[in-house]
Amino acid sequence: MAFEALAGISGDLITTSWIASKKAYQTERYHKEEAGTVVIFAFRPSFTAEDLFAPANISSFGEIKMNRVQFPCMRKIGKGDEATVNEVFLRNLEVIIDPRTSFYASVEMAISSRKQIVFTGHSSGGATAILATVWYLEKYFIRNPNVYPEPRCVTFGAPLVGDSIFSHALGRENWSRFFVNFVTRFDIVPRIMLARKASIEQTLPHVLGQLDPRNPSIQESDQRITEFYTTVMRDTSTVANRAFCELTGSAEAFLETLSSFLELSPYRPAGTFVFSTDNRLVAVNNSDAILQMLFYTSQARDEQEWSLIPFLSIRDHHSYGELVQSMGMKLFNHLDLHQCLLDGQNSIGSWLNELGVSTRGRQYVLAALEEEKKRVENQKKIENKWPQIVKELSWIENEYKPKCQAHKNGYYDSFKVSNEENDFKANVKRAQLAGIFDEVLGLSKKGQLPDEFEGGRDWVELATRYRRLIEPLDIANYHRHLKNEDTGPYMIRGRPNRYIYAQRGYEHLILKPEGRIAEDVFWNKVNGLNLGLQQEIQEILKNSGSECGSCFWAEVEELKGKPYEEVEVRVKTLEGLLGGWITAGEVDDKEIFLEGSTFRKWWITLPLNHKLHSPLREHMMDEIRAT
Amino acid sequence: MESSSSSLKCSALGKLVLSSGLLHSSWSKISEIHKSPYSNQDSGLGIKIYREEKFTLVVFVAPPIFTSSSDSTLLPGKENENPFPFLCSENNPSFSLHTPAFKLFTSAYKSLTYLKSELLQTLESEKPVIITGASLGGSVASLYTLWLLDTIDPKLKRPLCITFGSPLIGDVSLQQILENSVRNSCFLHVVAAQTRIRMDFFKPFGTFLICFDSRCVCIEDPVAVTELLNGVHDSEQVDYGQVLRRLDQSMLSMADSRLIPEAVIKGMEERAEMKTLRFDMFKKLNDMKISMAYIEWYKKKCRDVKIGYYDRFKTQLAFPSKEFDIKIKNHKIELNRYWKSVVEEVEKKPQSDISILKRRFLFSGNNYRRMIEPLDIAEYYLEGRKEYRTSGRSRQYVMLEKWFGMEPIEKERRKNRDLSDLLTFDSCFWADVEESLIVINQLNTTVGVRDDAREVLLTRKLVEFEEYVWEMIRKREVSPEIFLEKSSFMKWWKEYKKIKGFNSPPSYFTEFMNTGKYKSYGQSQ
Repeated sequence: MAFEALAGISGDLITTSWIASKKAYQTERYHKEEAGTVVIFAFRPSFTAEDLFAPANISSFGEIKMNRVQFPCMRKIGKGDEATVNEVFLRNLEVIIDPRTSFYASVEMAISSRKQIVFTGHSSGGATAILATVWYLEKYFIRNPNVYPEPRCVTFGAPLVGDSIFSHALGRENWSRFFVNFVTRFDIVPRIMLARKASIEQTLPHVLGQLDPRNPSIQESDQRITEFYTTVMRDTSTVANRAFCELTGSAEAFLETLSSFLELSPYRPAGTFVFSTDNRLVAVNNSDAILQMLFYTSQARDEQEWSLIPFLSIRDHHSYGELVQSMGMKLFNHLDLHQCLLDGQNSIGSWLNELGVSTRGRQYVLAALEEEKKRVENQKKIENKWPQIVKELSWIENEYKPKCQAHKNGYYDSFKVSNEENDFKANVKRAQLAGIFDEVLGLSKKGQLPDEFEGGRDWVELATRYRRLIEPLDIANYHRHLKNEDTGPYMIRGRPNRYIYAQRGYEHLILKPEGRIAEDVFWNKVNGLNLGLQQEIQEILKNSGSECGSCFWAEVEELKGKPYEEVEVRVKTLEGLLGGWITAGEVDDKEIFLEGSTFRKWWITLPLNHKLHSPLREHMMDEIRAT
Repeated sequence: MESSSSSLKCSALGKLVLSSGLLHSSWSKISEIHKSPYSNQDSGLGIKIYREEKFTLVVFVAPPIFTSSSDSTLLPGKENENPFPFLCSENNPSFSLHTPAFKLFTSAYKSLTYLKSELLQTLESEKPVIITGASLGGSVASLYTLWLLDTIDPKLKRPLCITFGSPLIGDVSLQQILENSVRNSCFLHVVAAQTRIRMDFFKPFGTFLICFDSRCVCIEDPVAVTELLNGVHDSEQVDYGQVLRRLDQSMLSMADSRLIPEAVIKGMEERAEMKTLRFDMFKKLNDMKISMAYIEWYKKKCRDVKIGYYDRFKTQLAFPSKEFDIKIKNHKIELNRYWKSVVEEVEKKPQSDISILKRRFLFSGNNYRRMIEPLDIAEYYLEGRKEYRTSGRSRQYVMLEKWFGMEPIEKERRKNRDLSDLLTFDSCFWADVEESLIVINQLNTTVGVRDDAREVLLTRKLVEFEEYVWEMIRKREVSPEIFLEKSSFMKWWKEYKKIKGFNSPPSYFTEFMNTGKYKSYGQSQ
C-alpha cells in the first residue's frame, strides 16, 4: 500500500493504534497492547481546561521551554534557543516517564527485546504520545540508531504541542517522518492551541465536555460552540496570516511594528499531517503548508455549511473511528514539493478542493510549498560552493602551513606579521571564505535553508575544518590590528558568529549520541583539573578562549600581556585542555610548539616552578633544560 | 483570478491587520469621543489617553475640515523654524506639511511635549502605544507620531499610528525621506476604496489598509495606493464603524473576490522587483575586504622598496609596467564604486537614522577613505590639476569623514604603539604635500624682479604646512611612510630646508628632521 511507503506505517497498525487509543479512555494514564513485534502505548486524553493550559502559567498560551539537559536535540543548534512546548503536556509526560512507573518498565522491556514501539493517542492523548516519542528518541534511539528500532507516533485529532523550533529540531534530526497526525476536516482540537487562552477561557470547559467521546449527545445549535469556533478560527487566521507574511518576507518592517501588538500562538504543526475527505487522504509534511491548511480546510463553502460548521467542528473530533475504518477504500496522496513540480499543481488543486480549501486558500498553501523550493535552491547554491571552500582550505593546509612551518614560526605568527606574499594570499582566501560562511549564516538565521541542512554531517565536518584552520587567522588579524586594545578581547568583541555556529554544530554532532550538552562536558573537564571552587573558576573562565580549541590563540594573546599570578587558573586551564584539543584535531601541535611561535615564546617566560609541573614539559624539554 | 504572489501578500497582511482587533479598539474609542456631548464644541485639538491592559491608546480629535484645503507649509531644515529637523536628509533638506494639521500641532505644542515624556515612559516599560485619530485628527496623530519617533530608542518597541480617512500630511520630499526609513512602518492608514484623497500636492507614506465591501488589502507601495484611491467619494464622509463591521462579518467565510486591478498589481510587482535589484551594501562588504587586502599588500610591497604607496601609484600611473599595478587600479575603481553607492543609499535616510548605520560600516568606510583617497589624489595631481581639497574631493569621502566624526567614539590609543600599519588620519594629507611642492616650484622659478610681497605670501604658506605636519607628527596621526627615501614629502623637505636656509630660527619640526629623529618615528617604544 502506498500509504505505508509514505507514512512508514501500515494501515493495520493504524487501526490497532486507534483501537488502543480508545481503550486508553478507561485507563488511569495509558494502555499497552502488543501486536507481534510491535508494542503500542496509547495515552489517555483529558477533557478539562487545566489539562490544556497549566493554571499557574501566566503566558497566554501556557507554553514552557524544554529542558536542555533532558532534551539536548530539541533546540536550534547555532543560536541555541530551546524548543517551546505546552507546559501541561510536558508535565504529564514527566509523570509517565518516571523510572518508578510501569510505563517506564514496559518501555525498557520492549527495548530489551528490540521491539518496535508505537506511541499513540486520541485528542490530548496524542499530545502525550508526541512528547513520549521525543523522549524515546532522545533517551534511546539517538544513542544507537542501528540497534534501537525506529519508533512511530500516530495521533488522532491531537492538539499542537510545540513551536517552530520543535518542528525544526525534528526536521533537522530527520525524525519528522516518525510522526503521523490524522486530522478530520473540521475537528477543532488541532486548532485550539492557536487561540489565546483569554479569548476562549469562558467557553472552553463547556466545549471540552462536548468533545469528550464519552459524552454521546452534541447539540446542533449551541451558541457557545459557535462562539468558541469563531474565536479559535479568528486567532488561527491571525497566526496563519502572520506566518505567511513572515514566510514570504512581505512588509518586514511594518510586520515587526504590528507584531508587538499581537499575541501570537507559538505552536506550529510538526511531523506529517494526514487530512481526510470523503474519498481521499492527503498527507502533508511541510509545517507552513499545514498551518495554512488548518485554517483553510475549516472554512465554509456556503451559507448552509457555515451554519453547520461549529457543530461539525465538534463532531469531527469523534469521527476518527470512521476514518480508520474507511481508510483502505480511500485514495491516498502526498502533497509535497515534488508533486507540485511534477504535475503543475493540477491534481493538488483538486485534492485541496475536496478538502474544502477555497481558490484563494489553495494559493496560500501552494505559496508555502514554494518557499520550501526556495530553501532547497539555497542549499544547492551553497553546495555548489563546496569545491571552492575545499580548494581554499587545501591551499592553507598543504601550501601555506608547511611553508610557514619551514620558517619555524607557524602560520599563525606568519599571518600576524604578514610580511610574505603567501600571508597576503591567505588573507584574500580568508576574506573569500568569510563571505561564503557569512552567507550561509545569514540564510540559516532567517530559516531560509532546509531543516536538515544544519545537522548534515558533511556540512558540519566542512565547517569544522574551516573553523579549525581559519579561525586562528582571524585571531591573528584581530591582534595584528591591535583590536584587542581598541575594542576589547577577541572572545567578547571579536569572535564572528560564523565560528560560534560552526562550533555548536560540531559539538552537537559529537555529543548527541551520548545525550550530553557541550557546557556540561566543558565544565566536567575543567573540574577534572582541580583548580579550585567551581563557582570561582566559572567566574574566572567567563569568556575565556579555553571554551573552544580553535580559540586557543585568542587565549594565548590575552594571557601573554598579564602577570602570571593574575591568570594562573587560566594558564592551567589552557594547558590542561590542550592535550584533548590536540587529540581531537582542534589544535595543531606541529604549529604551536615551533621555535618562533608566540605561544612558545610566552610559555618560556612563565615561572620555573610552573613549568616544571606543567603537562607541557615534555614538549618544552629544551626550554626547561636551558633554564 | 488573481494569482500573483504580491496580491496574496496584500490580502494576507490585510486579514492580519483586521483579525488583530487593533482597528476595532481604536475606532471604538474614537467614536466614543465623537459621540460624547463635549466634542465639537471646541475648535481646538482634543487628546485623550486610554490605558488598556495590553497597550496604551492615544486618541487625537480635531474639528472637521470644512474646506478641502490643500494649503501647505514649507519647513526648512533649520532647527528653530522646524520641529522636525531630524527628518531632513542630505538629499531632501526641507519638506512641506499640510497646513491645517501643522497649525493644530503647533497650537498644542506645550501639551504635546508633556504627553511625549509620558508616552516615552510607557514605551520604556515595554508597553506598546497606539496613536490614532479620524479625519484631521488622524493627520495630527501622524504628525505627532513622526515627532515622537525621533526620541524613541531604536531598541524599544515602535508605536503604531492608525488613521481613519485622514488627509495626507506631507509632500513628495517627506515621502522620499520616509521611504528609506524604518519610521515608515509605524503608520497604518485605513481608507475606504472608491474614496478620493487629494494627491495633487501631498503624497502618501506608511502602510494603507484599503477597504472594499467585504475584503481589504494592505499596501505599502505608494504608487499603487495613489492608483487605488482615486474614487469619487470624500473619504472624510465614510463611517468607518460600518466599514469595519462589514469586513468583520466576512472574515471567516470563503468568498473570493478580485480586489486589485491586474494593472496595479503588475506595476507593484515591477517596482518590488526593482527594489530587490537595488544595491545591497551588506552582501558586498566581504568582497570589498578582499580588494582592501590587495591594496594593503600593495602598500606593504611599496614600503619594502623605500617608496610609499602614494608615490609608487603616482609613478606607475604614468608608466604602468607590472600587472599588479594595473590590478590595483581596478580594485580602487571597485572600492570607489561600492562606497559611492553606500553613501548614496545613506544620504536618502533621515539624519537621525544614520547613527543606526552599523559601526562596522563606519569603520570600514573610514579605513577605505584613509587608504584610497591618497590614490585619488595621486591621479588628480598627475593630471596637472590643483586645489584638491576644495574642488577635487569625491562626495563619498566628504560624507564618510563627516559621519565618522559624528560617531561618539573616543579611541584611547596606546602611546607607544607601533605605527607601521597606521593610515594617516587626514586622508587629504598628500594633497597638501602636492600644493606645497607647487608653492616651492613657484618660489624657485621667480624670474625678473623680486617680488617681496609675493615671496612672503608663498613662504607663509609653506610655514603653515610645516605647522600642520608637525601637529600630526606630534599626535602620531601620520603614517611613518611619509619619511621613506623616495617619498614626495621628503622631496618637499629637502627643498623647504634650502628655502628656509640657516637664517631662520629652528623649529620643533626642523629639529626633528635635521637630527634624524624622524627615522625612529612610529616605532614602538
